[in-house]
Amino acid sequence: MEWRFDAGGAIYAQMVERIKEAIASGAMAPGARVPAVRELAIDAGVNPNTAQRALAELEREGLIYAVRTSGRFVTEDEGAIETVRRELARGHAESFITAMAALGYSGAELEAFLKNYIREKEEE
Amino acid sequence: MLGKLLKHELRATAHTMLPIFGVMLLVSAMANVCARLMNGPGNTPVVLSIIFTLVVILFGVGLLAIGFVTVFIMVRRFRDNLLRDEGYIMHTLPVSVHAQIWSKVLVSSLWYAASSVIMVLSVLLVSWDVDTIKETGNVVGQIIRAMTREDYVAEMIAEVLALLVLGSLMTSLSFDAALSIGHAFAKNKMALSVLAFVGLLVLGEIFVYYTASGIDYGFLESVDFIEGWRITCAGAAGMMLAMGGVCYGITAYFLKRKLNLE
Amino acid sequence: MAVLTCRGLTKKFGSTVALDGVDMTVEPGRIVGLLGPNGSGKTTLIKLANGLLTPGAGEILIDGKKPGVETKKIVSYLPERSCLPDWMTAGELMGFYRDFYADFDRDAAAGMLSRLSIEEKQKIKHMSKGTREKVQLIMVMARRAGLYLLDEPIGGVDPAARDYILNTIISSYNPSASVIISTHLIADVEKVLDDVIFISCGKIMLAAPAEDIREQRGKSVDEVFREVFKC
Repeated sequence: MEWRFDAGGAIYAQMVERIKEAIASGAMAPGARVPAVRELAIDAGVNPNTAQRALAELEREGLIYAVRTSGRFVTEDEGAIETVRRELARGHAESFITAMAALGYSGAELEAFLKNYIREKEEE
Repeated sequence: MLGKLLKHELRATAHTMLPIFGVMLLVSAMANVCARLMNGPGNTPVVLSIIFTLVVILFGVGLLAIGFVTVFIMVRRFRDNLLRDEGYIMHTLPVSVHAQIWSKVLVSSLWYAASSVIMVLSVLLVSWDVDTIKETGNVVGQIIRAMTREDYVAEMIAEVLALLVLGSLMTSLSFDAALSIGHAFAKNKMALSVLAFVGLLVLGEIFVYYTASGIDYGFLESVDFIEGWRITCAGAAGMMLAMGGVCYGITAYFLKRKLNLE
Repeated sequence: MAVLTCRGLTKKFGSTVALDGVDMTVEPGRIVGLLGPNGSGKTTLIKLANGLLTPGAGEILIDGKKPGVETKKIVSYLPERSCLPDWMTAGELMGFYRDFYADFDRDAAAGMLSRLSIEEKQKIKHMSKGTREKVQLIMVMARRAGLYLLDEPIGGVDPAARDYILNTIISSYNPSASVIISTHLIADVEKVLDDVIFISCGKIMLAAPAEDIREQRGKSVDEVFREVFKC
């Protein structure tokens, strides 16, 4: 995974976000092994405690689960994966809509714009 | 831990000292050969005789210099290993300052002794022929005979050797003390070390002068020769111990409290 | 118990005050950044912790003890200057560390050297400056120490070497040990830090967990540092 962090905001939270994206997009398949804390820390170039905290958070949210002695794995609960996918999609939609609203697009205009844009892209 | 320090100190110094000793012995052997060829029958070509003369001169210079070179290398070793960059490693080892000082003093004294042995060996090598072997054998034989005949000859030799060992320990300590003082300052560390050495030397002279002149030597009349000798040796040893002890104290204090690595 | 404790720690050199009443503690298992501009007292603090200097006032304790033979057994120190005895080979250097430090893991050190394709027979004096620095870091990190004191480990190295150094630190320290990294290059190290301590003119300006700073201020530690030390 390519790791890049924004200046502001906790690093563990950004790691949680990135791993959620990987799970939602299927880059990390259901049941796949999640890197161990130290492995993840070295890969992302972060403090092992930070990596630990990110994994604990994902575990708490039920997106990964720990098996004693063999490590952590991505959840196989498709409902949970779908939920996180929607959650991330909502986040993207929200920031898009906020940005468009700032440009003066109303709800109806926005919908029309999107339809047009998608058609243009498909014709290309 | 002193044992480990001694091992590493010996190894670190051996890699400079052994080649020097080797070269000295080689030059001595070459000087021997050259001297023989020059004094041999027939004419020696001028170029060769110049080379021979140079080798013999080289031997002479080497013989005079080897003691100084040993001192120089030991002083430099103490400075580089404990008072410069390597000091960062040495002073963070889990060993006491005392072990550090003893390892330096014992190993440098060993090299002083070794260089004396090398000097004797060089002289023997340069004058090596059947006659000198006989001669040396005779002298050694006489010494051994004297030692077995008269008890006190063996004792005197032992005492002289003991004083030499004590003297070389004290000399090492005085160099170390001077370097430790000089390197506690931020600048001109070497110049100040030399100054400190001169200061220690002057203090030592004053100490010896006052101690020696404060004694009433009248009692020497009432003792026999060997007892007088023993008292003199004990006195000299006592003074060296006192001065060595002061230098040791100075070195330990400055290394522990006033270390000033760059 | 704290691995490192300073109470009113003060050190003067002549009339200049290098450390001025420093109070701080470092808990086990933390990677701590000692951050400050050049000449702020970082190196003085680390030298005091190593017993290379003695405090003028106050005290510094390692595992509850004053710096001495006992604390040197558990402290692994990377000085700012490269100072390996250059006549030794890499193998002899490992022997040296093995002899003096019971916690030196020779296999780990040999593994790290071979990954850099440094041969044990290679002499230190025949190595480049960058290689020497890495060898010294390997010797320091191959100890299973309780406290690592790294003085400017990434000063003046290229980005690849910097990544190597930080990876070596992350992958070799054991979770019950603490690491103190002193540096003025904050952006390069902030991701690996648990806690940060800002030091300026011998005084502690700020001491907090790195994540708290980023979360509460919405800025990187580097940005906060620039604000605190604005000229």
